[in-house]
Amino acid sequence: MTFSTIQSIIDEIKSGRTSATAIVEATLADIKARDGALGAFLETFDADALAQAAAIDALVKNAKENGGELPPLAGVPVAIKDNMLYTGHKATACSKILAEHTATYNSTVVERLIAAGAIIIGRTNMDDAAMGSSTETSAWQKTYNPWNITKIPGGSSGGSAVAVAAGFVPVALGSDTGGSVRQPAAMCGVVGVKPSYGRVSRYGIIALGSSLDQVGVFSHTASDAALILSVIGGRDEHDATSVEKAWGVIGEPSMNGLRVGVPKEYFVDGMDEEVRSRISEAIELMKQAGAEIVDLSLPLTPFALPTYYIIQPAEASSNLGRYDGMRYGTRAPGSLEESYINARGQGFGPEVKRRIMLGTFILSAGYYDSYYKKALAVRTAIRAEFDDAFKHVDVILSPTAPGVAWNMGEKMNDPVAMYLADIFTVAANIAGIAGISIPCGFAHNLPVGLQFLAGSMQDEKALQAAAAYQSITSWHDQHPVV
Amino acid sequence: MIIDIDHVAKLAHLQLSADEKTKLAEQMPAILEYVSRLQEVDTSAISTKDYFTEAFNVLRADDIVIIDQVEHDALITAFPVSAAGALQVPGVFE
Repeated sequence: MTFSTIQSIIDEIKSGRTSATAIVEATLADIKARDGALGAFLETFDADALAQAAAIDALVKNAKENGGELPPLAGVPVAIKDNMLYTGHKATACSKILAEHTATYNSTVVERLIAAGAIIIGRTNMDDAAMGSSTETSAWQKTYNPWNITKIPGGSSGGSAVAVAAGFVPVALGSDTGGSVRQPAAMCGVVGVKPSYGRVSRYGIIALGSSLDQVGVFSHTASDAALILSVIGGRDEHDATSVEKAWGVIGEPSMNGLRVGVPKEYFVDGMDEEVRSRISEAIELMKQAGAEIVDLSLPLTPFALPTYYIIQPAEASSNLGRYDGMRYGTRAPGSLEESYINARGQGFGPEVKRRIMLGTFILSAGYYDSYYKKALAVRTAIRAEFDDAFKHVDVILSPTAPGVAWNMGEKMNDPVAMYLADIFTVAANIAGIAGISIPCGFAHNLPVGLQFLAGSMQDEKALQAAAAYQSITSWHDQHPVV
Repeated sequence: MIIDIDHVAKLAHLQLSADEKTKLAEQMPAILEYVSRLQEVDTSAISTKDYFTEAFNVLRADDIVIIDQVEHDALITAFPVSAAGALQVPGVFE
């Protein structure tokens, strides 16, 4: 097992000390040997990955003989979440209703990774249709936290988090609708980034909540995540919400003069005391390193999660309307109406049904104004509150989650308890701003995540702050033994 | 709060078992009670935005894209049921 950074892999390949083929063979062998106990991967794309590697090795040989540049991610193995389309491969969103779904085109993120020389190693486990905070609602398998296999890995992108945390791949993609990259990153002790709304194309990603979804990155360092985002980000004509804004380079990391806002509402009663201590220690360390700590108040914070659990089920129930066994999935017998009802009844898991029912109820006549319209108004106010705060600070700091990874099965019968795990991450999706979780120590022998938020389109500030924190700490160099 | 589970399931095109209905009848009111705390926020002075994207009036040319046979066949093969190179569905009108 190796915990390489992207840069070290690229250097090894460019220098000729190793080949892309050797890296891919070792990665595939490692996954076969160790992932049985963790369940991060649903499938590895052995033949395509080896073919991609051979093509990279040919490029390296040609560059050596005739000169020329190599693509920026030449030979870097990447894992993708099971809701991202990769031509010719299954993409099921870990939902029974898409069990037989094979992608007929590439998602933009996969297309751009391949064009940059990255190698798509395999697809990872996730919650059913990305609904869940523990990866336990997956229709296919369980994924276990590599720090303690009796614990959940977080979710919904739990497989991708574990793929990086366990050292299988240096980087993996996830999607973050309410914290589905940052929360599992925190639980597994890796970096997880959710970009601002519009900075990465969602074309070819199986949609959950279209005004909330963003593609995110798992890695060991903020600078590795920044490198990946510079490749996958930017305008895409296939996603009308994507914006024309190149990713800036992360400069020399420094805490000096960084204005860090600490909102008191993110340090709530009932949060784990050890988690609170780790965050306080991190704040103290940043202060000593020259950061200016600014006490903030964001009074609407307690309303972010209720806002989210109106908007997200409403959008999910609309987005999932297309899964009726007609164009995708398995056709159920009967008349048109019977076929719809049966295909959906048999294909969706309990959490998905719950959210479709909630969303349908919320959008139904008589309830639309009091739930959905009200939530949109509060959402507007939450965004305004953040915009105001970012006039005074560069980044906002908070815990990523109120506790550490919990026991497998613990919250499966209490949806509200499960939803509360996302209490500190949903605001970034509600407001469309940037967020990153980075490791900041341990509580109860499990990783703790610290979150930096930055204003809309100011993602580089969050990455810069994270890189600065990582330059004065070594939590990201600690790895589980599995 | 009492929710007409059968009515909502019908709107959502969802077949639910008796057990699922019982569970939802318990869980949905609990979740709705939790989200109802939004009523505490005074939003009378807010002019609500529906979205926060920086993109504005995104348009593209309305061109017909011709796909090749391989792509065409891949799409047809991906359908759950197809016939004569097209998607086959149950009759919409009786």
